[in-house]
Amino acid sequence: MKTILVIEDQPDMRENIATILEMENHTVIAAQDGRAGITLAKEEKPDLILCDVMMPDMDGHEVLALCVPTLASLARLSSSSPPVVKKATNASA
Amino acid sequence: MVGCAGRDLPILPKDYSWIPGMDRTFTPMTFPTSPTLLSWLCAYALLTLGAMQTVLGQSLPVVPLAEVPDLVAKGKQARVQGIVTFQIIRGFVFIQDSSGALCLHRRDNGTLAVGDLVEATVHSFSRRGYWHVAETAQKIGTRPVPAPELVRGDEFTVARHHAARIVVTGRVISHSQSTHDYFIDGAYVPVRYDVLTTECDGANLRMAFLKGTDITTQCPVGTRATFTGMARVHDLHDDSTNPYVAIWVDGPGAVEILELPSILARPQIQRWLTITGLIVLGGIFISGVWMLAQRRRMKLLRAKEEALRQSNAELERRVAERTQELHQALARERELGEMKSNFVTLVSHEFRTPLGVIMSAVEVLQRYFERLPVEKRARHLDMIFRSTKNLAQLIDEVLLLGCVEEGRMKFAPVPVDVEKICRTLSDELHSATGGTSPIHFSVETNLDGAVSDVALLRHIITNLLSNAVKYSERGSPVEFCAGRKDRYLVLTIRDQGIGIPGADQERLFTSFTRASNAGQRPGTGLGLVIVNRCVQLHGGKLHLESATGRGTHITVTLPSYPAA
Repeated sequence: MKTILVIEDQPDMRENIATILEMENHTVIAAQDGRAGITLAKEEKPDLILCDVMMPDMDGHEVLALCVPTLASLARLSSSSPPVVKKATNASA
Repeated sequence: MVGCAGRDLPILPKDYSWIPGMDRTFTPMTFPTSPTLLSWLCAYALLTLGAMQTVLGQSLPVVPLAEVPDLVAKGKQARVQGIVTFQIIRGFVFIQDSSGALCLHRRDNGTLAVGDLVEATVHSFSRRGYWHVAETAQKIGTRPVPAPELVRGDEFTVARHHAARIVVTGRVISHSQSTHDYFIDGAYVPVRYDVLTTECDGANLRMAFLKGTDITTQCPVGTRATFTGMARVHDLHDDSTNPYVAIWVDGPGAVEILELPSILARPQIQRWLTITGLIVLGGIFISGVWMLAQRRRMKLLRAKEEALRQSNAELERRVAERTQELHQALARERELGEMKSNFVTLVSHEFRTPLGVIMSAVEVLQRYFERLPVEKRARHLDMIFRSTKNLAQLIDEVLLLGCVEEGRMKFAPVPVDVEKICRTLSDELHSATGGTSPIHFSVETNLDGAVSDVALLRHIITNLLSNAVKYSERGSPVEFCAGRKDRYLVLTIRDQGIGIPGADQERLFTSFTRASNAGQRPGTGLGLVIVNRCVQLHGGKLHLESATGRGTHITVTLPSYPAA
């Protein structure tokens, strides 16, 4: 059982992903945009992050760019580095 | 005789050989001294006298030369003696005695020399040539030629100076040539002269020089000189139309030059100066013409250069203009390309979002249907329904926007009943939205006579009303008002919904852009873009006023009424 952070601006989509992951017995934390996602990532130290690419304000690439150093420092403290998975549902991604 | 006619004749006193019959070896007769010869001579003289008496009919006394013209005029003969002062040509001599002088033509054309004392019997007067005629003339001795008489030019008289040896002083005023025919041996012999017309004391005198001298060179016009020669004077009595004095000058030696004209006044110099002047003038003229031509050429050249420069500048300007146009067109094309590319990206994303929702919802239902609570199942089914509906609307709007953007949607105005359309659409939308918000439609003025495109008008009203309802809280009313202002149809839609944040208002007319506070309300971000395009096709204007939490107020103004 893992803790997974889902960053997705589309609520229906976010809910569906969360449902699927919960059904697979994972703990899901969800964020509706990049900023909230980064905050949650720092607080909750998830095992996996699923992030949408096309989002208003801050897109997936930016979230990733900001997340990685944060997570790296976290990794040094906790000695467990969470992998970041891009959600590549878009054709352009 | 005739043979000598074409020849230039030499100067008389120096050489007599040109005169036919003239014996160059002639020597004056010397008187014989022997008694035999003397007796012979006496006999000869007696015989001659006898013969003369026979010829003349009578023995005549010698008369002074001055009396001859009167005697001859009376038809009498005159026996004369005189010293030869000048011989023009064989047989034509001037003789002189103490009383006067005479031009004598002896018909036998015998030769006499200057200084000979001759005796002749004059029997007639030849008016042509003004000669007194004798058949012959005998040389009876030799005498020194009398000194010439100095005469003023204006003092010549026939009685005193005709045929006399004279000296006259004058200034040459012109050069010419003359020919006179002399009757010799039964034929007329032409004798040519150089003539200097000379002004002497106010009278014009002609100085005749036998051809062959260089007198015209020696005495250029303007020369003042003393001329010694034989005068032949014609007065009114003789020739009333042409009175003149002609002087046969002995030769160059008889001309004493007193004063030559100044260098500049000499004809040769003047001729030379004239020619030089003409050449210089010609040169100046040609130079002037050439310079003018050059100036003209330069002017033309400059004008051409200027024209060329201008045309070049014009060409460059045009090229620059065209280049700029091309750049602009290229930039526009690039922008359009980018816009299209962005549009495709956006559209695909917008399509994928509801599709993704549908697919994930279906997946959830498929895989976990048994384990899902009932309300969760219903949520997912509703999710599928809403997403499908949204997708359908999106497809409609994208297709419509495509039509508008590509210009396939034309503005086709027809007379419309605006009030009826507005009322119908309000009702339709009210029922379509499930009556969540009441739509209050009102008409401010009479709307009859409007001309508009029904389809475009429908898009405008539907989109604006649906937005107003969508972004209003349940039960919050929507005011819809139609009115006419001059030639404009004014549609006003006012809601009391969530409003649009100021920062988002500018971007509202960009495809797929929605207000940041739209939240979960379904929408494509194309509605206002379509409305704006439809208003533009009408030539109208859209005005938007909105504030977050206080609602939105949209005014559409369309020129739907003909000008008054």
